Amino acid sequence: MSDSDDVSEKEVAEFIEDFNILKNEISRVVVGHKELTENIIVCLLSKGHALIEGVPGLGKTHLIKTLGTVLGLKSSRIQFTPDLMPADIIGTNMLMKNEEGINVIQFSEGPVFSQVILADEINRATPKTQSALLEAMQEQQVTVWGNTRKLKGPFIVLATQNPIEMEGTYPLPEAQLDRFFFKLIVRYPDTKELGEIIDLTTRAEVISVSPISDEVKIEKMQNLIRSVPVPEEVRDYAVKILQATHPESEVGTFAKYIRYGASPRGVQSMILSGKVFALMSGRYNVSFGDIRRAAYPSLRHRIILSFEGEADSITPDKIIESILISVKES
Amino acid sequence: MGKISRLKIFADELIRQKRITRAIEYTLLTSFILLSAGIVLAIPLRYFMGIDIIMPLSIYAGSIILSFIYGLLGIENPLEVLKDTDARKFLNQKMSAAFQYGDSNNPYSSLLVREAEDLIENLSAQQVFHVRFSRRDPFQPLLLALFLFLWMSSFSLLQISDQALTNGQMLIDTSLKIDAVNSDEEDRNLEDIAEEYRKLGQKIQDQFMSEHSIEKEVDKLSRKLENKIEGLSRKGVDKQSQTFDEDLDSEIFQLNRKKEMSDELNDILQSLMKTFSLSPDMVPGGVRKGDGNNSGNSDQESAFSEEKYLDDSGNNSLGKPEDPSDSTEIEQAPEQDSGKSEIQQESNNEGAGNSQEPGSLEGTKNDEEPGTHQNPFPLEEPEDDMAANNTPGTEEGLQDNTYKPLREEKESGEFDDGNIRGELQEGEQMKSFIRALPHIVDPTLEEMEVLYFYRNQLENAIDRESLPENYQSVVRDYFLSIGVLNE
Repeated sequence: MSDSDDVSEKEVAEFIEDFNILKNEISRVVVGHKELTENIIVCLLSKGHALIEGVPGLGKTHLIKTLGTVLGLKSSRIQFTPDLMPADIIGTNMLMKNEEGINVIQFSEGPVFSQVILADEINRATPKTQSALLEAMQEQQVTVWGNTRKLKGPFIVLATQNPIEMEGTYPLPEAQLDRFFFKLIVRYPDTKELGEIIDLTTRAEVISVSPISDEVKIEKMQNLIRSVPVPEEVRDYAVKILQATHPESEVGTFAKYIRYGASPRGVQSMILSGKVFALMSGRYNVSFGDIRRAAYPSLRHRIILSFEGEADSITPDKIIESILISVKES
Repeated sequence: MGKISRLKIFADELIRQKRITRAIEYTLLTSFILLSAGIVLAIPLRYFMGIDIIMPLSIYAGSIILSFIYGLLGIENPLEVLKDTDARKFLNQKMSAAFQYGDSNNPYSSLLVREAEDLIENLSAQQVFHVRFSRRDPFQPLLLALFLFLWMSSFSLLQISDQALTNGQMLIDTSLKIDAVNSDEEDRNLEDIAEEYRKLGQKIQDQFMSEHSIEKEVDKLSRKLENKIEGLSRKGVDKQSQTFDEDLDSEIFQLNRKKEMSDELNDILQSLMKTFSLSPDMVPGGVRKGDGNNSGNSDQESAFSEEKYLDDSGNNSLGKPEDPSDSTEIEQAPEQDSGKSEIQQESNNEGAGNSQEPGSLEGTKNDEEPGTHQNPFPLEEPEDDMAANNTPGTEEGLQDNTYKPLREEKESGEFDDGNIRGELQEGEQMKSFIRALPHIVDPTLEEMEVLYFYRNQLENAIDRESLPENYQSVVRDYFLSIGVLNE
């Protein structure tokens, strides 16, 4: 890479500005959830997908629909139900008449052929249907009857799920969970936010958002992220954190509560999201703090609790907290 | 590389500062370790090895200088040094990230270097590499003071008495005596012993030893000398008992010489032991206390001594006695040499008389083991060589001291030999045999000198408190009767 390819301060400044514009635009219609909103944008810029978990009624779907609108990308919504079939998601070949009136078999694209996919209540569908998204999420393509079709980028799947303890839910397979870049927890709004929600949603005036970005801008931001350097010591720190999630690790005090630890996708997620965190903070390199911030959403769905963990009501977040305390930066 | 020139300059400053910091830290650590070890070893080194303070102080100073120099050395990479900066300033991360993909492949390098340059504007090398004092460092002066105190106070422990100093001089004198005794060039071991005595004496003179260690060393050397004496004596006795051929007369002479050396060394040793209040492991003559062959060796030694003194007096006519019980050979000796002196005849008579006296004593005082040779004067606690050599009951002691009185009696005709021989009883006689060397060498001692020497030894022996009470009077009466002792 020559000097002309060097990233300039101006480019970084534009990145930060665009990021803030996106965030502010979404916050116009989504009360609270600032961190959630940031993390979803980070996920998008890192070319990842997010699993958003929370009890019904907390604005998950509203947030994602707003994001799709603001980003100016083609978005679709799939409401997952127990009788939903894979073909309902990815599409299927159908016998249709063409313009000349001849019967032909044509592929009818499913809702997955969009750029922002809202997979609402994904854990209400059967695992078979849930797995229909695997190829799309990992390889950004769909294969039907031997024909592979590429999905247009930027592509992001934002899946919501109710807590798995709820009635009529199917836990996501580990393989699919691992495909999600982030797992984000939607928390209850506080008193102030509840007041704002009431004010915003019960008045006659309806606030709408308009697209302020496009796929070109998004891709440019994505490329800028990828070249952010990571210091060696910071990279090693992320590796040590990942290794600490493994059951055989002696770091922290929760190893016995872990059945399966995070896969290498976990550290990829931490580093990539750390780059976004660094750049949106105006830094040109990833720091230890970025890794620590990225650890929770990157690892919590990749840590599978053991029976003891479930019985003792240990959450993955507690385990990550213990690991972050135990692992030294250098 | 131009864009990192400022960083390079800063890196050079960092390297210098890092080296100085490292050198100081090494020095402090080395000093702490040496002082800690020095405190533990101060007194033992001074007390037992006699090391002067110059040496430990030299080691201490040399070590910390070397550790300081070692700290200054080293090869530092400027980039590594920059990465090694304080993490709170994030300069290390900037540098690490800027050169993550090499010097020019990172599109963010220029931005990171610029950030790093801005950081170093307000950052000094001393801030990055400042000397970090550990908790132990403030204790260093205390440790040094403690070390010096211990070392100096050990001198008071080493104050040795004037008596000890005198003893040191005596040891040096002893070494000279041993040298004087050691005229035999074949025996180099005595030289070593003399040298050891000399060194020990010099060490005491230099006050490099405690009184306890002085005693220990002297005792050790005395044991060594005792062993040597014993070796000389045993060698002489063993050889002599096996060698009575005339062809080996010269060897016998050498053995006699060794015996003399043994006796002289014994004198030196006894004198030394008396000075240092040490108890000997063996009685004079080279026989150890508690040795199972004690009496046997004494007998052999006595025979050897007889031979020597007969030889000294010039009457070497006696041949080798093949059978110790055969006294006829002894009696025939004067006949074989018609030119024998009077003393020789008297000696033969005396030998016969002595062979009866112990038997007589044993018969009257101790009837428990008839027929055995009972030594009436056990060699348990010899106080000095004179007393030990004059052990009553041995053939040597009894026989040699009768030379002069017997001759006088003969001349005056006032005494009868029967008065001094006791009663002859079968199986209880102690037979002695006198052997003389052939006429190979001239006598080395005057006859009277020998007699007076043994008389003195005899008097000392009789005055010894350790003699059995009953035997004192018997021995005194005996020697009074033969005129050797005065009333």
